[in-house]
Amino acid sequence: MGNYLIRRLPAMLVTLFAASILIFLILRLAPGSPAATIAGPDASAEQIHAVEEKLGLNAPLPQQYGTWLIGLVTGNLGVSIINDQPITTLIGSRVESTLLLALAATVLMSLLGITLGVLGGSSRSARLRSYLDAFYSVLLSLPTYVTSVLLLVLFGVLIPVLPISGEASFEDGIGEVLTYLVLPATALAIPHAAVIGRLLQNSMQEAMHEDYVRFGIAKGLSRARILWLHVLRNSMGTAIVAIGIRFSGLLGGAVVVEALFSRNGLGQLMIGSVLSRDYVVVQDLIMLAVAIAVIVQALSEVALASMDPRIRLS
Amino acid sequence: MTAPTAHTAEDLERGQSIGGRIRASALLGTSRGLVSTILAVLMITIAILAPVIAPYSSDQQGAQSFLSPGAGNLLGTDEFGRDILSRVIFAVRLDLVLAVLAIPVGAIIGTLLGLSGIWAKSLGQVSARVFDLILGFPTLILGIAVALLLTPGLPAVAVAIAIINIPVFGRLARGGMLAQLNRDYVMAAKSLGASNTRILLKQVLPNIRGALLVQSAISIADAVFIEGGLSILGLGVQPPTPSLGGLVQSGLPYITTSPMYVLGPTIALALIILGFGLLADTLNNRSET
Repeated sequence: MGNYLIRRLPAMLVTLFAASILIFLILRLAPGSPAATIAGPDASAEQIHAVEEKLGLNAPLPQQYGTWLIGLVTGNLGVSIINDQPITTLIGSRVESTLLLALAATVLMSLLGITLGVLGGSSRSARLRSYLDAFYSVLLSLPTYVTSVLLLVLFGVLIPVLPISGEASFEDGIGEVLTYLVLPATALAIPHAAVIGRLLQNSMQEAMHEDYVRFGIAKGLSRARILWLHVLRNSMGTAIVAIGIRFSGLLGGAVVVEALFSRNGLGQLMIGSVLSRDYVVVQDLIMLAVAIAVIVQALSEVALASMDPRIRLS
Repeated sequence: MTAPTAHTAEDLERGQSIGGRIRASALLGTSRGLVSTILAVLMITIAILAPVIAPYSSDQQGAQSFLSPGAGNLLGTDEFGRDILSRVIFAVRLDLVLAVLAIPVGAIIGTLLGLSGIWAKSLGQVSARVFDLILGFPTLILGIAVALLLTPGLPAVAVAIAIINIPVFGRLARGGMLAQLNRDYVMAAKSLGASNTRILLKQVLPNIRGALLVQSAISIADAVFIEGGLSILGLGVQPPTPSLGGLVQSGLPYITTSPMYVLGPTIALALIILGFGLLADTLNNRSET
């Protein structure tokens, strides 16, 4: 398994390297100079020049990119243009909120998706399967802001049992933290759970027609044993890879969910930085999101490889 | 929401052509097809007839702000006494017009880049790599980057929608082209001396027409999704221009007192995204069988 990860590493690094170049170029080669936008519309040429000097924007592009990349690798993310704080400090103060949200949403989406998928996949009722399929179709196309608003109105207005805004810290107790986490995490998890549920249901249904299932039946194994031990085990791979792939979408959704539920996480930091045109912070945060997405996806492939001995990296 | 895209792209790479004509009976035959067609037609009708069916204009201020939903104002009025239903109707129009204007720009650039491999092999390969890379980014985060570059507003949303469609259509076109180039009839055309352009127009494009149609429906859903997300974050269409995401954002502070202010545009967003998403599903299934 560790071996698999090591052999996967070069491809991951290449992807991250390419992504960093792309992010850098997109943010630098855009029309209009960032220094001019930061300095404001009334800035004189000297003020713009001063900003350029401060940000290192007058250095040649490859050198600017090199400085940024070396900073990324060594953990020096630079300094915010707006309030001169180190970006690592800014991220550090917000990361817990987002991490909790993403973690809770991943757990919920996996539980919900796998439960639905097993329910549909193990069912012999074609009617139940087609109802579930319609249910998935609706849920998976709903953006997280729609599920968020529906939950906000349902639990904030109609049945006001859960807090709809803000968050608690661990000093208030884990119960408080979870109370504030339930709605945003559910809103974030629902569309992704539907994708996982549908994939698992389909792959279980396909596995039901495999030879080893016929053989199991012929051998006189119980239906439950065939389902849980053979079919599910062979279908779980799809679900695990799906969870890994959905994680990138989860990060994008988290930005909106944080805004709607007033959680002060990395997403809010990103929006604030876009509005104050803090290029460096946005550049770092996008890179961070891409890196996390790539790593989680690789980890899910490793998990798959450790479950399925047929998968070897050739 | 990107699942159907990947599906058609994979089908194309496996060499299945998903062209062919789509008949009305095929669309309306299943309940999913029927529901999605009704939703899509309804939303398009609302967009076209907005000035006729909206009870008020989008910026006409009434006497009272925060009126409860009632006979005069079906969804109530907002903080400036404007009729919320009318604003939602004009926002549906704005969102769909935005989609219809921005998607073709991205689609044409993407398709050309995707097909460029037939003339310049390395350009095709490089753009294919870049497409995969961009498609790995979360859509909304890409949109946020565009908003940063262009200052938040309607033009930024339009550019974001166009840019996001470049890799989507690019990959589709390239996948379709690669699958077609190995077909016997393309080889035959080539040996008869047909030019690359002729092969693209006569052999490749007709065979990926179905896939492009399916993708267009997905792209409309995605465009509305992007407008909604960016405007809710305050990076998209700015008030007083009524857009669906913008209305959700303005209504959010009043969610406990006038929930219909937020629910109205949210439901419109959900119906458009759902309608066009399911329509793509139906078209996809139809053209496969």
